[in-house]
Amino acid sequence: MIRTSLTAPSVYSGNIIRRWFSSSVGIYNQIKKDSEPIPSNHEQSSTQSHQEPETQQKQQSQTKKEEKTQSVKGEKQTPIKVSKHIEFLKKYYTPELLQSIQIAESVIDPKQVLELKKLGFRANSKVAPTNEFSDYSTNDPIWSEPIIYPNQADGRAPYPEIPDTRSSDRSDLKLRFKDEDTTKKSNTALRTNRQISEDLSKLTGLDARYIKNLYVRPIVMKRVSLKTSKGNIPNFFVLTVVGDKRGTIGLGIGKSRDGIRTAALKAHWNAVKNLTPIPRYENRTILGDFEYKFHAVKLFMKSAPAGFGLRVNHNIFEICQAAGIKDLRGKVYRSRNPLLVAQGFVEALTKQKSIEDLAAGRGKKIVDLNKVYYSH
Amino acid sequence: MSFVHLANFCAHIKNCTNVNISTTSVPFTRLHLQVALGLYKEGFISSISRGSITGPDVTPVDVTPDNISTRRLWLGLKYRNNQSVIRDISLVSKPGRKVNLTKEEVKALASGLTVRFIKPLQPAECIFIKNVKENEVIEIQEAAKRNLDGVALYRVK
Repeated sequence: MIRTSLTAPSVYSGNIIRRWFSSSVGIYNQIKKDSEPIPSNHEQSSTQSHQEPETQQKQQSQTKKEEKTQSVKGEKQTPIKVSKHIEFLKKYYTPELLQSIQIAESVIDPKQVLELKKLGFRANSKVAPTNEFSDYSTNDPIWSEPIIYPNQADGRAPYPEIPDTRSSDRSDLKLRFKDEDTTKKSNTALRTNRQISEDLSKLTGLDARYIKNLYVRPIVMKRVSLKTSKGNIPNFFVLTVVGDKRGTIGLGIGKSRDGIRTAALKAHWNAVKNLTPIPRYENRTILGDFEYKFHAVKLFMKSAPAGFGLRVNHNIFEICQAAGIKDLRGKVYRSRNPLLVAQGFVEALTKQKSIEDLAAGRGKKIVDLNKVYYSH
Repeated sequence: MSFVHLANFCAHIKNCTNVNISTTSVPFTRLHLQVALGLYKEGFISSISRGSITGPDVTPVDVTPDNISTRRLWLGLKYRNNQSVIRDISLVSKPGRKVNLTKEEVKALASGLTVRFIKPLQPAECIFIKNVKENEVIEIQEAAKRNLDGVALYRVK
């Protein structure tokens, strides 16, 4: 209601309030003496007319005053209406508040009120009233937010609002307790081996020490560029093989735009996530031979006797090292794309069939000739 | 002895294993019967039974000139863990080129060495030989024990 005038935003800098009160002090004194409200508004017309949104009640009160001033019939009519108005207000406001209300009401020009009434709903101004007294040199810290970026208002900016911590009436402020762990941790992606192993052990459930002691080898490290209209965007690709040299391996791919290090880290991470066991014969070579086709890669791998060594493609060599395969021979035909070779070989290793399974399928019993014919 | 018939036999079995068919029929001939028996002994197929075109015979039926044209040999195929027990079946001697193995070659093959162009035996793999004198199809390990030679027919794994 009329209270809004007293709590008006931004327009009312210190200067204005002082002026307003200085002009209305006389009225206030009069009120005190007479215990009757406001005289005519002719005194106030020289002062600033402050346009504000007004409620119906306010307008009604103004109309009463208008009638009172315009009629100019005499002081007898005006007091009746005014006293009625005061009595009406007394029901809702304390006497101190009443006084301030009356001061406020006295400031308003009745002609303006009429005009606003004529406008109807359009009377609500969408623009803040101009402040002719201020030179905008000072900024009220409580009422005005610092304007840092354009379109700063009500979620129109693409980033969250800057909270006004000094204002008394801000409900959107949330209490935040400082999380010590997050503040202490550095926000970089790069981590030490120890951190990696700890985090991965939580994720996978494997022992952290086991992860720490894995054999890690990036096989493919290349720089790939994404072509855009504005130029090339470099992207780093790393393929890492991870193994415990005891029959468990994992292949992982990592990609990053930041650099090769983060890509390698991601690859290491993914490789550990993809750890799988693979069967070996006598813990040194593959079970028999296999011919495996993976996309355009044709692998012809053959088991080798003890002491033979790894006489294979360099990518397959790394994987064998990680897996703990010590003897192997074979050839890669058609495509020798390192990524495909690596993936194909790992897939082929996992698809090996043990002699137990084969015998079970055929319904045959297995006899180890080494143990039958030779005594160890 | 027709290698073309044998080729057809191998191809048919391979096709059937690719689509997980339980029983198939092949022509009822001496060669097919010998080959099927060899596979059965090694445990690659579950059953052999005589039958007609429609299906295996529940009660035994004599083969007569009247019903000879409708006679078929029914084989039961084996599967384990969604995969066929017969992973691969292929000819060694083809209609265009026969592979005659001597006793030494037979023994070499049986012990896992490479003989000519024949790739070495893998774990759980069998090669079948036809001994021409006795006109029987035998597995290579048995042939090596008995000091036999013959024509390499097909290999299964």
